[in-house]
Amino acid sequence: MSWGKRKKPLKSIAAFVLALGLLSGCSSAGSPNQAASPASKGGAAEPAKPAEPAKKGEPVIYHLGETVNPEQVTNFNPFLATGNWSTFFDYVFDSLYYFNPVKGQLVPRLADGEGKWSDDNKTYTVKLNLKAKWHDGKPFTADDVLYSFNILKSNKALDRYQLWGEGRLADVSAQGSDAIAFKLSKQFPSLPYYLTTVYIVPKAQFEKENAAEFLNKAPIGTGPFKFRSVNESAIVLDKNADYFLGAPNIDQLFINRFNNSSTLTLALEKGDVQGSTGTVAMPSVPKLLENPVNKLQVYPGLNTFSVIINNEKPALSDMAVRKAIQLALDRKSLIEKGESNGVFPANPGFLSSVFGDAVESKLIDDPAYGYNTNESIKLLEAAGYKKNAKGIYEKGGKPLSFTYHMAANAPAQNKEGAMITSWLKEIGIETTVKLVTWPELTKLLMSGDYELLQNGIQTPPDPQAMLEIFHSKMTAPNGTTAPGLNYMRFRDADVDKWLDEASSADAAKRKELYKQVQNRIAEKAPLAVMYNVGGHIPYRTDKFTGYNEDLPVTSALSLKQVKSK
Amino acid sequence: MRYNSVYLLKRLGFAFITLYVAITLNFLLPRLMGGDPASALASEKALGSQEVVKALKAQFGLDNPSLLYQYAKYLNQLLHGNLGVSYANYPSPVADVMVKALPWTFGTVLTATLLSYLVGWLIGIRGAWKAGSLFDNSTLFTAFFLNSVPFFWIAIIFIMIFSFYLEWFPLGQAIDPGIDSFSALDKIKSVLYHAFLPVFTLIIATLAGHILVLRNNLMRVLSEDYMLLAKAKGLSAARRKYAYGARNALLPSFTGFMTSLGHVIGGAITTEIVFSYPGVGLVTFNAILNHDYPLIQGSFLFIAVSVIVCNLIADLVYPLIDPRVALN
Repeated sequence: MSWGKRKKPLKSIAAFVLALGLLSGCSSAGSPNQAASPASKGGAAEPAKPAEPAKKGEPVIYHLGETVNPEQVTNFNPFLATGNWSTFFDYVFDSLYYFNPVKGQLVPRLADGEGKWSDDNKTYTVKLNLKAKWHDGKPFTADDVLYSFNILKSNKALDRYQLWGEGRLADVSAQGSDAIAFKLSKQFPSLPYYLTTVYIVPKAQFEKENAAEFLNKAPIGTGPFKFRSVNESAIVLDKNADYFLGAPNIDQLFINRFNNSSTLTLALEKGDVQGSTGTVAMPSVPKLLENPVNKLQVYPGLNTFSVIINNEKPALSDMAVRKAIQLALDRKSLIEKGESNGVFPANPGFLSSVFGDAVESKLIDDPAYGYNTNESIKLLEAAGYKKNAKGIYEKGGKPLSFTYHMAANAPAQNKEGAMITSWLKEIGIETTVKLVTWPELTKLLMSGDYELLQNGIQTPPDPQAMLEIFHSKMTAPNGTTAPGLNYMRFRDADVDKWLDEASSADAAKRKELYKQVQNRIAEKAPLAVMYNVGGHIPYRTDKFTGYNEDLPVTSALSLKQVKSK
Repeated sequence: MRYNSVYLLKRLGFAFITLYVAITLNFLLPRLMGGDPASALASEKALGSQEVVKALKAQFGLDNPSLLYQYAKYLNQLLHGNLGVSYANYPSPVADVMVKALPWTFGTVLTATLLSYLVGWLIGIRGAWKAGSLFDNSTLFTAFFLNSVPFFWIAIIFIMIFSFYLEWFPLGQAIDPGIDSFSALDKIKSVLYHAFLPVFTLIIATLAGHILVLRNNLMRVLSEDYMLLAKAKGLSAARRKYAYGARNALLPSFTGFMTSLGHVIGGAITTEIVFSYPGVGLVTFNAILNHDYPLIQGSFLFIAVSVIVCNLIADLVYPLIDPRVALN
């Protein structure tokens, strides 16, 4: 029987009930806690509807769906961390470069090709693509770029990636009318990656306002889509016919707003929306993909979910215990059963596959760091731990018993947590599960008031930043707030030295040093990685074609190539 | 005058005390959740930078950790009619966020509450009048069944049947995504079309309670001696049913009705989530998830005020409709 002809309402209802019953998916896209609702949309979906070409004269509308809550459309100011849906800016604005996570490469947007480093590697000069124009028709100039970077200098809360932090930008200046020089106080080879994080805004519009409070209700960008309106059900964008990198083929882009992944997935199945930018009820994916018109693009990203281990806590400071935990995690099962194959295998050396040849990829499948409970037990016994009457290993009368924090209201996370704690029990490690809110998880991590904690760690698109979460400068003793993402309280003099050296080394040397760091991390197991979360983008191919699979298919650069069938 | 100034002052005083307690609890409860929004934001979006945490805390007014200081600031702001600035919506003020969400909640929940009471009461009256009839038995059975089914279940069943399979209604949302290009009439049509299923669900889900309460009250009233006397006097069935029976049976339901009106502003979180409907319930739910203290405070304040005001009105109106209530 072909897909969709046999309807199974009861099964579908049951699945949808479970998915919504726990009211779990009511948050923004991007991490598995939101993307993975607890149950599958079981029944068969509607058969692929025949393409309905737009009638002559009617605009071609692409319907994208996403979980965009009311608090994500209260402003359209790309500098603000709150009140907006950050993916919106990719469609309406341009940065100098776009980080393409599918290929791990920088793609020039407002920059005209790759930038040039000065001989002392302390100045990076970027030529601008002056063919770009603002949506109101005004020309794009170097002044706009200067303004967009300098405003971060004067507003600390806006400089979220600390571009103006110590040892980084010292000055940004124009070189003639078509180039910008980024002067650094110290060598900082990762700078080009950070240039992807700043959207360029029109100086003429922003300088009249306080950038830290400007709501920008009528955003003007240079991007492939122009803002038209926002309502309770959608953000409506028009094509920018003058887009300097080529005008989109579709006339309008509707970003349909949902507040839970289950309804969004139903809309996708029904054909009401053609794709999402990453949100989908993961357990529904296998059924969704039975319909050949539905596709799922999966690529690695910058968020790695792990069992974060507090290396300063008693027993967890013992490498043998940490290694035992690392080897007790069946990462394959977590990916298949917990995340329905919508995530990427994680690297025990932590660096995401997105960084290509800087990654020590052999670590990913190396059995020395893979699931092996016998080896876990051997390690514990060799370190002098003995099983007590309850079957828990102990040393000096102290059993291996830890608190295990994870997020409440996150069914997929809780399912994975249950899998992990049962594996730990198998190797004689006892856990007491505690469920707290996401912000509280962060607070525990920052203060070091935890033993084992399941959460994701997200970094900017920069391998150095991703590995610096193991640098001792990013941590503080338990009880003191960590100044960076080294929540593990991990300290290793070699890792510090290699990372410091890499921060000013040439590209080849950096890769070598990064590999050394990754090997050391895999060996010392300051945390036990679960999986890497990048994109898992569902999209339909029955009405539209031309998706660029070398990019995230629903990114601005890919959608501008998409056309109606 | 059915009540004296002491009664009035007592009720008003009680309402003010309740309001003050509610305001204080609104302030304390979100802070008991643990975790602070500035740190969470910095960790998520700024590599855990303490500089950014500091800047965000200053921005959010959390730079002084003293609860007493924050409480005094909160009360001061409230007295000036300022609900503060939402963290998750920063820099949008709480009032703006609430004002956007309120009409949707009012439209759906108020309509559903009024219709649900009206229909529930009418069914209850008819059921009690003809107790034991097919109508009474079938409505009673249905009411018991609906009363025991979880609220969200009904919503989901309706979405699957009417939206997904039959495609009579949209899967959710409050309006058509392309509404901005619609004529005024089409805009109204779109709002009504999208509101139908959420309102219908709310009515179905709350109807049972109203039927059961009124039916049982009326059954009790119908067994009173004065009902027999009315019949003996030869009063018409309609007069006995409505003017004698229902009027007395409605009295206990009146307080319930006023409390329900007070809760209208709180929205229906489950319905709004299932139907992707942009009301106060959804805003409150997300505010809790985001640890958005000012928004939680603001939304709970709206709910508290509306419940207290509606209860006060009920207290003041009750002596007028039921003279048996002791006023002293």
